[in-house]
Amino acid sequence: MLTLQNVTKKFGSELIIDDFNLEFEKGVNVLLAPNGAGKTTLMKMAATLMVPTAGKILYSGKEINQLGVHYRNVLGYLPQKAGYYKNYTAEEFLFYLGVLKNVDKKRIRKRIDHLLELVELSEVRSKKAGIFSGGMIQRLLIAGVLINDPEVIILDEPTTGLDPKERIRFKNIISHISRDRIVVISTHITSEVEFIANKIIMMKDHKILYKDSVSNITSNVKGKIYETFIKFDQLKMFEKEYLVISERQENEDVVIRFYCDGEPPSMSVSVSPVLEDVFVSTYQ
Amino acid sequence: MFQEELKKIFRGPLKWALILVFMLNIAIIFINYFEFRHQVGNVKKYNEFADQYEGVLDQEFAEQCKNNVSGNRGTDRDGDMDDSAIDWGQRGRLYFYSDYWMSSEAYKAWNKVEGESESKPVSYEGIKKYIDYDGNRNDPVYPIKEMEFQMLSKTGAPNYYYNIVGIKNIVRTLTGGMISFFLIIIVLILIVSSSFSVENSSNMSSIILTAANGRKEILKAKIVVVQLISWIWISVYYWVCVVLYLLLFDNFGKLSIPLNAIDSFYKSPYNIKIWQFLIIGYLFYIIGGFAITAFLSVLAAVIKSPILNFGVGILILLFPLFIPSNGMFGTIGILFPDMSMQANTLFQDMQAVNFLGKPILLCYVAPIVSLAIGIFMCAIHYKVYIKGSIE
Repeated sequence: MLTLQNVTKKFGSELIIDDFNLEFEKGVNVLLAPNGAGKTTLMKMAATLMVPTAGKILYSGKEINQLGVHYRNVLGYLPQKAGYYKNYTAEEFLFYLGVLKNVDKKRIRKRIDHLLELVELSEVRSKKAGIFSGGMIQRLLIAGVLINDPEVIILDEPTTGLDPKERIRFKNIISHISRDRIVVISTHITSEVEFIANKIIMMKDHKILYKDSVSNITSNVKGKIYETFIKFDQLKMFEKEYLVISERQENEDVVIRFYCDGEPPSMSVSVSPVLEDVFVSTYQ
Repeated sequence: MFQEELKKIFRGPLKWALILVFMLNIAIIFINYFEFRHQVGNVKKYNEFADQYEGVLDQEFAEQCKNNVSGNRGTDRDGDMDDSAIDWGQRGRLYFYSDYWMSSEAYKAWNKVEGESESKPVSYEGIKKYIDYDGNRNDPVYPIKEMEFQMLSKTGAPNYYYNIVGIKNIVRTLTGGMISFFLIIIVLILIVSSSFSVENSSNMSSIILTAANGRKEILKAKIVVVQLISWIWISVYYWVCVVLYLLLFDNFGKLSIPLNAIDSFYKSPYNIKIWQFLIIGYLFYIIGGFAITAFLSVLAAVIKSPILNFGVGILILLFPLFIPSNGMFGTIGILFPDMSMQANTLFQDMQAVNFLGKPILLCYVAPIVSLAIGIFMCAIHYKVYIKGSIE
């Protein structure tokens, strides 16, 4: 278990993370917050790239910075703007990462075969990474994260820049690897994690707002999400009165999905909330 | 880790840069050779003359040489010597006359007894007189002059001024050539950049720093790899140059002549042979190379941009070469690793610093300072490279 105990991070006098108490358990843990909320700072602290201003981060009861190499031995980290060596082939790059992560050379070779298959890059294993598409690079990097068979996987906005097909493929890989491991993913795109997240952590004003399962979090807005049809020229007026989550054009009308804490307008239908509803209503 | 770091360096464009610079340097050696051959004309002819007068100091012949040189050598519009109108056989002879005459002048200067300042003597005899006089004992420069005298006494008169075809070119080029030094520095910067800056330019730093071997282990591997490649590069460069020069100038038989047989080294207080000097020069080169490589590695860890790193590295390392070699700044400048690589500056003359009232020769101080700089840079590297990346 990865535990944050009263973790605070400041840059000078600017407060980024305020007294976080959190436990990341096995499965997919998602940090959900808008850009600039401090997700990356939290991820970096959990990856030993930043030191908390106050508080402790513990892995199996021991502080990660004191564990040092022992912690990094079980860690797989993919930063937001991860790099790669263009003049390495996929195989060479994974081998390099394997050595870097202190994996036995014989085991690296076996892992490379398995991981390239997992991320569907076996056919281009001898091709230089410089010619890969964005999605292929991201899959290669995920394989790199997994080369040491880590117990803790930290992925900072891993799907940024991927097309929908690659995102689906990526989600499946994450789902596949999250058994028996602690996976921490940061994102601001709710649809990416809604169906794979075991735990959602939502941050607001430097603090933790929710830390719960998707169903429990969405239950917070149960009975407050509605859909209705309005005319296009009514839209502006509607937006002034209600928090519009999404809108869709349908013939002459607009289908509106909205949040309403009180009495909804007539002809509105209550719908089951999804994570996006919580996200929009929280960060309105 | 070590092997992977080594492979990483040679996956980049470095190998091509090394080959290019090496070829360039070989070309420079040949240019020097052809320039020399243009001056001397026929090297064999020159050697034939030189062999006849080996070990002989004939003042009368030296005078004849002087007259012959000034009577036969042409001058260009600016009044400089111009031998282009003289045939090659004649050129060889004139060049030898010129060397012989200059050598005899240097010999006379070494043994000068008149016409120099009594308080600041430079000749062997002058220094002898100076230290023999008891009244000078409280003079601040007395300890230096005393040491100078002791060393000059061991050296003996430089009486092999001739028969040094090519050797002076080897000494000059290997231990003081600006272009040659510049080429070495460029390669060292490329080596360091290929190992250290490539991570920043490819955004790999965060992945590396969170890996088990991504801190101390990788840093150790990087330091060893860049130092090893630098050492191999400097060694290959140095000894290929030595062998090539010796071959081109037909000089293998002249390695055992004293260092002070070369005109610019006639005041050298070190009683060593040319071959010994070439080995010492090599040691200075590798110590200086070690310090410079360590310095550049730290610089690459501080300045993340490879291009900026290249520019700053070049500026900092070339700056000391423009410090005048005399005076206080010269003394301080000589302590820079890149200057201490230039062994000829340290071996041409008695240069010392005063430490607790005792003069210590710069040729001892310079490599020690270089070594200390190199070790210091390696020691602070962990802090700069890793701790500097952790916020």
